[in-house]
Amino acid sequence: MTALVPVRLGRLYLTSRRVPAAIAALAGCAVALHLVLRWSVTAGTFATQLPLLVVGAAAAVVGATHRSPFGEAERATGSRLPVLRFIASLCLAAVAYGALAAGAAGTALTFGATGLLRDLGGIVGVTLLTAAFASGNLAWLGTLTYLLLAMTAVALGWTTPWLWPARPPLDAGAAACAAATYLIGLAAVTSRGTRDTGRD
Amino acid sequence: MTASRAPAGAARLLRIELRRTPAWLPLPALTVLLGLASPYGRALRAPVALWSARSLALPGALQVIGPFVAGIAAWAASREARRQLTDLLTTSPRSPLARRLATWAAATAVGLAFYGLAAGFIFAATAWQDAWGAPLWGPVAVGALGVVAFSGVGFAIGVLLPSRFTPPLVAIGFLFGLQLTLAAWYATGSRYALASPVVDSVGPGAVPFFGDGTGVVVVQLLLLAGVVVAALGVPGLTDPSTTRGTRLLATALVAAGLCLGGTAIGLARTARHEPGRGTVIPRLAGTATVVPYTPVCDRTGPLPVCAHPAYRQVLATVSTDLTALTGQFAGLPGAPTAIDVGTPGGVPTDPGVLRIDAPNSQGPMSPGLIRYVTRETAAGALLGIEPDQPATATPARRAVADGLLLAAGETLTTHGPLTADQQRARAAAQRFAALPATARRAWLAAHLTALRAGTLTLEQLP
Repeated sequence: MTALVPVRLGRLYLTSRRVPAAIAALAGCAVALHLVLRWSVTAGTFATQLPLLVVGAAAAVVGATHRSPFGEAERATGSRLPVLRFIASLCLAAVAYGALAAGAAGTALTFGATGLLRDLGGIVGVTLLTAAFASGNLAWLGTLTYLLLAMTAVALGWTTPWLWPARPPLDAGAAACAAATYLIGLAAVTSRGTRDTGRD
Repeated sequence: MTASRAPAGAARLLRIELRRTPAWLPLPALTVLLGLASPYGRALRAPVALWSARSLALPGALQVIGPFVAGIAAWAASREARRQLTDLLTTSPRSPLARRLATWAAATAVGLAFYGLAAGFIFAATAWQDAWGAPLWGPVAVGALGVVAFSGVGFAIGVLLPSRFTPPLVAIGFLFGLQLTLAAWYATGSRYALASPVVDSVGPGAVPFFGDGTGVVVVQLLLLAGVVVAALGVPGLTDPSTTRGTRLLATALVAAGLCLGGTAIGLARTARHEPGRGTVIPRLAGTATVVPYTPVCDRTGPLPVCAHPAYRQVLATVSTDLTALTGQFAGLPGAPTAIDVGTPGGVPTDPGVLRIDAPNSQGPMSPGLIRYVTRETAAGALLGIEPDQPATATPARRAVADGLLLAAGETLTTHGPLTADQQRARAAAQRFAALPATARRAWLAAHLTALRAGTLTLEQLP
């Protein structure tokens, strides 16, 4: 009986965060990425921008699972909530990467598997930071803002590593910025949870 | 509630919704993005202030405003389901449709107010820069209707699928859709993409010469009107508590919207290209007549440099930039007698005039880039190199054009490693530029006509 408690707790946590629906949405993103890579333009800035938007959508889905429907009542129930947040967030990001990598299999993704990992991880980090410090409900506003800046960087050739999608896939500075953003975002959402403003 | 109290009640409901709508939250980020990541900010930083380019920047700003507005509307639409208030609110006396429309109207009103402020700012800046002409109200209306349409579709999807995943997927989906239409137009030339509000409805440089009557803006307005009408009908169709009459009206709205959208797509399919004027919809466009104008000229350099009055702001700059180049060939047999800046094909000019493009009106250019591009296009045009026809750039023409640029003090730019042929042409250019000015001019006097005709080879260069 005692051994089943963590399993039940995990299942309830995932259900409350709509993780099954998120996995379905991530599968949809994988299909969308495959269709984009198979049927849309294969050269120029659009060949980077369009797949990047699908990656951004997957990151927004990962971010949207973090909002708690219970608020303060849940935070008062025990000390295991951060552990659940950490494991769920990490696993869902891994699922997102796996789904997108599967979607890109057999096609010519301009930024490759390494670039996909960097871009997805970094954008998930941006979403988690927005969720932790601005609004859990509207974390996608941060994702969308970042995507618009990154697309402009791709189109205009901006070179700052903080807009990592515009840098080559193996650029060390861009990878470091994306990794740092993800780790800080993960730490923030693990320790604080998402911010409930009440306004939204 | 009596008929006289109904409008007051609706206004009060709208006021409450305006206070609680989340549409205010993204406005600071939107302001930054508008300046940095949209055609709006790029047009504001362009070296040439044209009313046409500034007006077109407003529907272009939908690339930024549209996804935010759609996502926020989707979020607002799911509020009742999210707060689990649907059953409770069903018992309230006000019609669910009116309540939902008030929520949508508030989110849309904030988006429209932001768009209006953006329009006011860019037009004030353009007027302050003393630009030639007047605003184009068609593209401005496309942008405004685009905000309403994006909000309407976002709201309709939020009503149909109230989920925490709906707003982000709607917002990013809209951004994706807009980018897809831009890719379809600029990368593949699909005519259907013309109906998209973010595709330029007219070439900004063509407007001073031909006006803005291409008909494309009408197609875009038709499509957006169809989307708005159809989106307004969706909440009425999905709400179980609506009456039969309301449901019929909602069905008619959706059908009318689809008809309007279909008409727009059908018209876009008939688009064709006209030289100078750009893409037009034959059934909607006026006749291609050039609006009479008196060119303004700068005669301070070796050759007079003339332009439409719309480009008078940059005339002195372009003329100064060209001096070092035109001085090398002005007065030679077969050489142009004047430079024309910005006049598109399809507008007649004197036979001896050399046409070059005007500096960008839709994006920023540094003074150094303006100088380089102006000199490069002038040198290429002098020798008969057409930018969109690579075959015209023969090695001899390219070498002399590059030599003229080097002699004018430019540093040549390269994109990637040079091929063997390009290296030979580059070496010939450096030899040509190293000649004394009088020797270079004497060689040009003897060979310019043959060079422009394309009959000279690289081996015949000095």
